[in-house]
Amino acid sequence: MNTDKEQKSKFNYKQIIDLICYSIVSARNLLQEPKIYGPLRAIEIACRLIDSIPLELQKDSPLLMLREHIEAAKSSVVEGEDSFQRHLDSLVSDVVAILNNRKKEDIK
Amino acid sequence: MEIKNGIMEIKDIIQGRRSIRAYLPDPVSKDQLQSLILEAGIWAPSAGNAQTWRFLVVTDQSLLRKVELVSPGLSGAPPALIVICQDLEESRIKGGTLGPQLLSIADAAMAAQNIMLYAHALGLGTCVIASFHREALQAVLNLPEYLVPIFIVAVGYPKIIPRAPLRKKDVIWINEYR
Repeated sequence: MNTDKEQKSKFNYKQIIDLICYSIVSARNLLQEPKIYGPLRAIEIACRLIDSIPLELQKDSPLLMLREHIEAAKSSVVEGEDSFQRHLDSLVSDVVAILNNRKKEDIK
Repeated sequence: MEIKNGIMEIKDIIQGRRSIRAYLPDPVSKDQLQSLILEAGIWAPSAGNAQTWRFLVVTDQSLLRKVELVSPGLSGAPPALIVICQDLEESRIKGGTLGPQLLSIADAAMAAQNIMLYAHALGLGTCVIASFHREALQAVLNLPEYLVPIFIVAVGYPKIIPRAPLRKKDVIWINEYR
């Protein structure tokens, strides 16, 4: 049976490279793009980071629910900035809950 | 959607189109993609009938993935893309300085809208994207310097169809702007 450490080493290297590429191109493009694209790209990167985590580690993880909430936030952009902000506030609450539920041994 | 004589009413097509940002993995056939361009895209008006647009269809998944990585606005895993480019050298010859500065962009936008409306009438979803890094996209697609991508139109079968955003209606003035 694989240890947690061994599973973590299976992180998809190609996905990480792709994410680095996406982040850098986003950074460059955002200089000239609408302000609201900034948070949109940031949560898209969060989404892709979640996707880069091996499925066996995602199982029973609050990240799956977080990912669903991120998708909902992305969709809310067309409803206007107020709606997008509410979704982002809710995402912040989600991650704070994840942080607060961290086991002591994980905080190192 | 109201269908009369086998086709949707133009108003329903215009008002029913949405920007789709989540696609099913089902492929779109080469014939369908070609028809979007040949039956709709190239029928858009172009300044001085210049027709300096060029359409690059991307269906190869590994190429599509590369395009996605240099196009932050592209999301939802569309199975196909139509990259609407302009030949800026030809545009300069036909349209003068206004050609590359404005006319080529306007022409590409009108072609994109035609493609998107026709796609919607065929049951396909689309999304027009301008958020990409131009030089990076040219490099990924191996395009010559004079052939510049203006828009990407993502094409596929919609997985999620968003609600229509509210439309501002106080945008009209008759004869006088007050």
